[in-house]
Amino acid sequence: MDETDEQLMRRFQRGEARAFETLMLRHRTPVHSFLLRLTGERTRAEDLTQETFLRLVRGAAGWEPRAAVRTWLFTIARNLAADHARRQVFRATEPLDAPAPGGDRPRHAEPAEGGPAPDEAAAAAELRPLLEAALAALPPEQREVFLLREHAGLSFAEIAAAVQVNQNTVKSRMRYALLALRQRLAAEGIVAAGAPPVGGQP
Amino acid sequence: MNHEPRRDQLLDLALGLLEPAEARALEAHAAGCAACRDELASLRRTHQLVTSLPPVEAPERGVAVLLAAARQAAASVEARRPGWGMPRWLAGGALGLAGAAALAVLVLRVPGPPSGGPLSDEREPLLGQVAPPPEPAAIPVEATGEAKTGSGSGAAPASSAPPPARAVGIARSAEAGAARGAMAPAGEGRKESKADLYETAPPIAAPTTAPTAPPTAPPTETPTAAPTALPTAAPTAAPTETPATPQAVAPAGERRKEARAALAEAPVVASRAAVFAAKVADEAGPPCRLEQRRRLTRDAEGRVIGRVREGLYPEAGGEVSLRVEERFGADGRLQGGTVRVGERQFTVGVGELAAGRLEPLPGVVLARSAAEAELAAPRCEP
Repeated sequence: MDETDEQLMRRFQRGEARAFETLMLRHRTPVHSFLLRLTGERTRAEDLTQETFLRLVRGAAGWEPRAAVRTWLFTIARNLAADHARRQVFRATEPLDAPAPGGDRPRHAEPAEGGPAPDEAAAAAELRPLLEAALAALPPEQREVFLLREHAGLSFAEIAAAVQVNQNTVKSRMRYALLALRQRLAAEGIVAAGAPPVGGQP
Repeated sequence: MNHEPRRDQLLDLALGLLEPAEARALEAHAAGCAACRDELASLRRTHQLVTSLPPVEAPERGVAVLLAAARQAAASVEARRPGWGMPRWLAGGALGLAGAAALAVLVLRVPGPPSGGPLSDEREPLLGQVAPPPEPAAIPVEATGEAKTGSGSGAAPASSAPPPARAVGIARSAEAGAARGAMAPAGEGRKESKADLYETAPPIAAPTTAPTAPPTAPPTETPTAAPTALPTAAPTAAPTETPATPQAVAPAGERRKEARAALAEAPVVASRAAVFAAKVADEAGPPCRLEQRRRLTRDAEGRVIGRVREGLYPEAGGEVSLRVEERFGADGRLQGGTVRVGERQFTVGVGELAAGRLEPLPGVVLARSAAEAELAAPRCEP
């Protein structure tokens, strides 16, 4: 029933601003969530979200149907965030890439709307700051890959293109990310530490 | 059986990276191996928890701006249809007023945020200046009265409520930001080579972002450097060779004469504008001589309070560096600006603003508003 992103983009290219509106409303929150978790800063995430969609507008005329709109959007968002982070290094005002160890939790932990059942939601709400913190504590190159995959839903090939590394690197970053997340959540007692089967004999 | 390679495999299984057959085999193994089973369960639980984080909704603020931009782009598509081969962004610029009107319409159309929501009283930077709203209650209108009075008597309609204290603070920070922007050396923060044409300066919220030179700061950030003209990307282009612009209002010769006259009258200042290599983002269309680089400065709320454009200005006998700087108030209106061409400088101050003289040089036009500055595409030829 819903038009695909690509159909909407076509209509926008033909001069229908309404098509863009639909497209934007569809993707604004996912893009914003991605940027918020990637940068850990609300204001910056809002700015970059805005800039991402402005670039979509500017670049719409040159878009070709072989590129998925969603992938394109997240690639723009990721690159904007990466550029910003690079500039930030020169300004050296805040170590965006290295969250302070321990106790440094993102400020964006609000209860979700329309989530699971009340009990579970309460538990989830309690966990959420810890989960966000675990994500925020990942090294940036792992965090971006993990978010692009698990939250934005990009394929490994798409992520590899966006981040400009090969797919094996993407996969290995995913593994390291999951291990690091597990380690952190295990330290908080949220998940079992697991029993590394390395070296064991069956 | 050797467990050594299993760890990556278990990770891959938890991440859903394995082929179905491979996954089944590993599951079967894990069923009979306590260590593998525990490891897998723990990894899967981690994965499930972290991927179940809900999305965080983007604030409404900014939607109207995006819709206005989309309208403008869409309008330029329409304008192109009749077949006059006007570059898309030139058309966009020419339709700026139409775009503003579209924004005014959009303002009425955009569904407001949920009542009582945290953003419902959020000031939308662009709305107040476009058109007086028929229903003040429905639209957040900026109270601009005491913040900026210099921009003329035609002040934007102020809402009946007194401005929140926050607004004053923002106005101040905007002023401070604009002042800082004016002082910032041209080359600030330009060390990375892979710079985009368009970039957004970071919010000026935290005072700590003031230009305190970090230990790793590039040593060339001092504004002492003489015009360090980098090689432009188009060394082959003869200076007199401008692309044909049949729709130009005045013949090129006329305009050039006009420009020469204007330049001759302008005071000479020490030139410190560095010209950057043409780096044109792919989406920006053909290379833009007049505007090769753009930088927007925003306040803590994300409002544009300054814009700097740098490029080359054609003059008789060659091209000189062009630097156009604009400052916008908290209400989004143009407060003033400077245009530096080579060693000459033009200032657009209160007098010029009141008289509506926003084109100190042919083809060099200051934006009336922050919205225009943010959305307008580069002007490519005088």
